[in-house]
Amino acid sequence: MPAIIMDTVSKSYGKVKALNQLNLTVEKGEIYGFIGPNGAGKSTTIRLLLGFLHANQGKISVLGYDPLRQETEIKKHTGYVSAESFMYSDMKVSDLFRFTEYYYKVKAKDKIRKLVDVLDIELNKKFEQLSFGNRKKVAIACALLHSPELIILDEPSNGLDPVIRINLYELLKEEQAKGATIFFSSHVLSEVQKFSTRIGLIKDGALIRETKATDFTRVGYRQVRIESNSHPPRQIDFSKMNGIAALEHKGNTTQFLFSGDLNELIRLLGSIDLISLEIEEPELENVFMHYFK
Amino acid sequence: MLFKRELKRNLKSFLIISLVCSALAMYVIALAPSFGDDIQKILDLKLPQGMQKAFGMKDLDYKSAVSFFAIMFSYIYLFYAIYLAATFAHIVSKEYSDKTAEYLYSLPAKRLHFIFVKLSVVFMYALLSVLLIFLVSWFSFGVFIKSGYDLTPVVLMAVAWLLGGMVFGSVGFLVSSFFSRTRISSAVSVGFVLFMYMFQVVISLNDNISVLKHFSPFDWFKGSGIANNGSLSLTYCLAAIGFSAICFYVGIWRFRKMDVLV
Repeated sequence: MPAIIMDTVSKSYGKVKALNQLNLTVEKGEIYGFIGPNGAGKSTTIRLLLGFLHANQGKISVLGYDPLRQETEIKKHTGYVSAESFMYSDMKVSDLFRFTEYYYKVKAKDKIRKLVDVLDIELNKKFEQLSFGNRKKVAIACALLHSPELIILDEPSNGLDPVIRINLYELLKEEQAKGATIFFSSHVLSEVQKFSTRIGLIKDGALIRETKATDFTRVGYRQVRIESNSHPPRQIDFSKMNGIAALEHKGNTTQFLFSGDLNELIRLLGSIDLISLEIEEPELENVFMHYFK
Repeated sequence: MLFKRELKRNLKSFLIISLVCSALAMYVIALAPSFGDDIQKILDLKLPQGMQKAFGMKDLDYKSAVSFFAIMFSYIYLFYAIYLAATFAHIVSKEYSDKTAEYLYSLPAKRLHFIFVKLSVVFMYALLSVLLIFLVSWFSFGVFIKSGYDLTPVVLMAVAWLLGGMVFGSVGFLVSSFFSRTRISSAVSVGFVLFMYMFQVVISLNDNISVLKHFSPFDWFKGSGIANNGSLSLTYCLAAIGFSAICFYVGIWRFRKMDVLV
């Protein structure tokens, strides 16, 4: 049985439709990266899985349980990190661990020690004294201390420094190796691509694309933006180049998605009278729309 | 664990209300022997009959220390009602206001469990504070009143504070299920208590609208009535219990069904 099944789930906030007949299946043992632009419905999906929200339509099953009728069973076997990670601000971090242990009915001294080391957590500070990133680390540790079967994380790396970010994903990989299923949302394409086994793109409350991370990795992509003195640059016919998509000319600016050989591109650009050149990570949506048609 | 946390978090307000009301009770009882029935003459001189009635000072036999104590009944009732309305108004909604509801509800227990734990702490403090005020009053009667007194009306006054206080507490709780910000729900709840207190004063001043007293919890329990009759109206006791039960039930139902949006 899959760890998560969402069958034609819809959710509205008043007149605003947050999810529109969403269908989603996450198999046990997967690391499922859930991506999409802000307001696409990522957090709504996650909150529905934990019974925080009531769906207007559709069926949801988490580890074989109904989130509204069997919430306790789901939570026993699930670790959850919210996007904003608010916890009791007047409590010390060590007390928050004790509080969490109490409800999961575990004594996780060794696990907590490991999480504290790996995530570099300060135990004796009050939660309110911590920065956003450090709060996030405490929330992650609380979600992992009982070694859950299913780990749900909403923008987990948001606010974390690069080293801790890598450590976090290593931790998640370890949990997956022990049999855990991981479902996480993000808008950072590179980390989703790197750590997921499968990726889903949500837009306007519906899952519009789903792919294996390995397929996605093979693509290789860059968002290239060129500003030149001639418009468009006459010396190069971009439309005939390999690995170019979403080509646009606006005034003296040309932009496109590029998955070909960067060296060749740079060489060709040498013949243009350039004002500026930007090569960056593209918008998630653009990549999906153009490479997975 | 949550129970312990809530006990600690609500201790300060419990101590403040209990100490203030106990001190007021002790002060009035200590004054009783020195005033005796002179208080009636002073009241007649300084306060119109309507105002005496409005503030529960009319028709009292001031030769009795318990009747003298009854003057303080409505003030303690008012303070206690404000305390309970404000406390019940934030006990669950604070989790939403502070955005900690997601963390709490992600722990493996039913939402209903968390709501019950939190409510039980306030119920316990409500009971303890009334008990403390009663014990201090009892002690003060023992120390300051040498001529003998009937303890039954004092016990009934404590019961009346608890029942009346719960009416306002339950309204506070229900109101909080409609507002995600604690500040708003507390303000509305305390505002309701003050409005009902003034409503009771207005009803007392105008005999033409005396029928409205059935809608005023401050009129359900009057110090003068308890001191003079030595009893509480069973109808109003049942009304208070029934009204509180309905408000708590609806409030709990609303919190159970409420979407958690941080």
